[in-house]
Amino acid sequence: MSGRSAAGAAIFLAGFKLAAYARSHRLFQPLIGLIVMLGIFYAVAVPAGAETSSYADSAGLLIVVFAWAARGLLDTEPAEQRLVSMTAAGSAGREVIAGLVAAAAVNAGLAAVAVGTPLLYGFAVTPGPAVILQGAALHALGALVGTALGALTSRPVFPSPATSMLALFGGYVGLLLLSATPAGRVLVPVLGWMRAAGDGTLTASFAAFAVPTVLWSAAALTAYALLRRTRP
Amino acid sequence: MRLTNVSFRYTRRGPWVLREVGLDLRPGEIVEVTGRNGAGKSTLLKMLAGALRPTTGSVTGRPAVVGYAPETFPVEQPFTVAAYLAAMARIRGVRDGLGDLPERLGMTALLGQPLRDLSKGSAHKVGLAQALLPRPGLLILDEPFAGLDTHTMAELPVIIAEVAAASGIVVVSDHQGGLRGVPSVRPVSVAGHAVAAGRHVSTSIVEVLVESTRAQEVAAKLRAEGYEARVRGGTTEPPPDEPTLTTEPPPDEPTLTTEPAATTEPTLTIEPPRGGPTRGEPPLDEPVPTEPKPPSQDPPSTAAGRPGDSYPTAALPQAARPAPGPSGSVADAVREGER
Repeated sequence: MSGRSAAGAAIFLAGFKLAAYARSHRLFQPLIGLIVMLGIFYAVAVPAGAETSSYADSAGLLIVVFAWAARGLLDTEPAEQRLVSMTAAGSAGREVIAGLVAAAAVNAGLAAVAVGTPLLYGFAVTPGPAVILQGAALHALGALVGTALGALTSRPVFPSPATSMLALFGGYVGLLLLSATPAGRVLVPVLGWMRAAGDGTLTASFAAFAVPTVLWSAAALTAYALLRRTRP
Repeated sequence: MRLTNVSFRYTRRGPWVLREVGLDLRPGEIVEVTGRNGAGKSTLLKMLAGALRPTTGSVTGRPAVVGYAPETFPVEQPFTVAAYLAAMARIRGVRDGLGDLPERLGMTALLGQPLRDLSKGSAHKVGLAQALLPRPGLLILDEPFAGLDTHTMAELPVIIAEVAAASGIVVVSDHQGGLRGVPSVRPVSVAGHAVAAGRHVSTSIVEVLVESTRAQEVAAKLRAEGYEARVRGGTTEPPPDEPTLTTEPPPDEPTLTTEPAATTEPTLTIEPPRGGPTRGEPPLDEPVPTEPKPPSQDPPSTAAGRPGDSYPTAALPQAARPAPGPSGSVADAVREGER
């Protein structure tokens, strides 16, 4: 007997990709990067009242780690295995979705570590639920951007590892620099949400940062899916 | 399943790999896709499998369950064979396990081994097993016979015939000639961006004489070019005295049978890639690569071969139907080249 729903096949394929990623030890690379960056962020205890600003900086700067993790996961499967996975899942689109779901799951875990770590070690005073929620929301945005950037720089799009890494870090720096310009408001306003968190206006302007970030990520993921049509 | 006016290129301004391809595949059909290296066979197979979308045109009626075995199975994965196949079964929703596939493919002993430790042939079996797991309605095998042991080489055509008998479509790219024993194989040739279905492909055998010590090297080079090349051992029967050329026109096309000088040395038999050169196509008329003969040794005689000659011979069948002739290296080669 055989047969599985589209969602079921994509979920099981995502699980297969996660298992391969974990067993290949590729997870250690971004995890070590995350730990180093958290060590730098929280080397000095964050004083009471500055937790939101600290979370905003963390979410913006960890985008590159999230992208690295997503790229590593999507590159774990050899090219021929991706073809096999496409037929096993029932369509090429399901393989692409499964890869993105798996990458998002890894980044969700890394983001959870980034949000939880300062609560144990980093914040001088444990903040209230509202601040923690803001921190989680900002890291979710960062993970989303990182997943999209990692996908766009993965092997099917950039077969050369050197070019891929250059595109990943260059893309992240480009996003940061552009966010300092007026164009940043409609791209990924990383510096904007950092400033707003420092000013104490993040809550009021959160939607203004979230909407363009989500739209940019959606556009990047759509571009990735379209590119994969001729780059299986 | 139908391909209608399918064209494909990998980039917007890149060269066309396939142009205006039309192809009907019926349930129960076994299709052998042939063509030179780089002709677009793998692209066609990936498109049939659904991994690639046509740039223009459409693919309709693809069966829901597709099995695809790549030419090279990717062993760089951190799983054992059993864990890998179990994962593929879970993704596909296969609930009745591996069945008798491990026994039939001769891979029972491999199940506990890590994929990274597998030899090429063993890895190939894993690729075949995952494709056969779900009882596919469309089975696509890219060079399935490469590197297989004798047992699996003999069993695979039986499995392919079973899939077809269960109304599955089987599409095979094969340079190894593994489908020779399978009846009713429909040839489809890929050449010049086009796909010609159902054409009877005319083939030739080219005889190449090389030093015995270089026979394998030359054969490997020719295989890399997409030709079928076999180094043959010495013959035991007396060869014909003179090379003969016999032309026997079959019902639809002429047949050329070449019986060159016989030899007692190994023979290198080279066949053009199936469906690559077809009759009337320029590539067939191109000179066949031959190894230069060292002046210090006796060149192969065009007359009877002599015991002790150090030059193996190779033969090239020119057409689908060789004329009956005396048993011997060339005559055998011609028969083996029969389509």
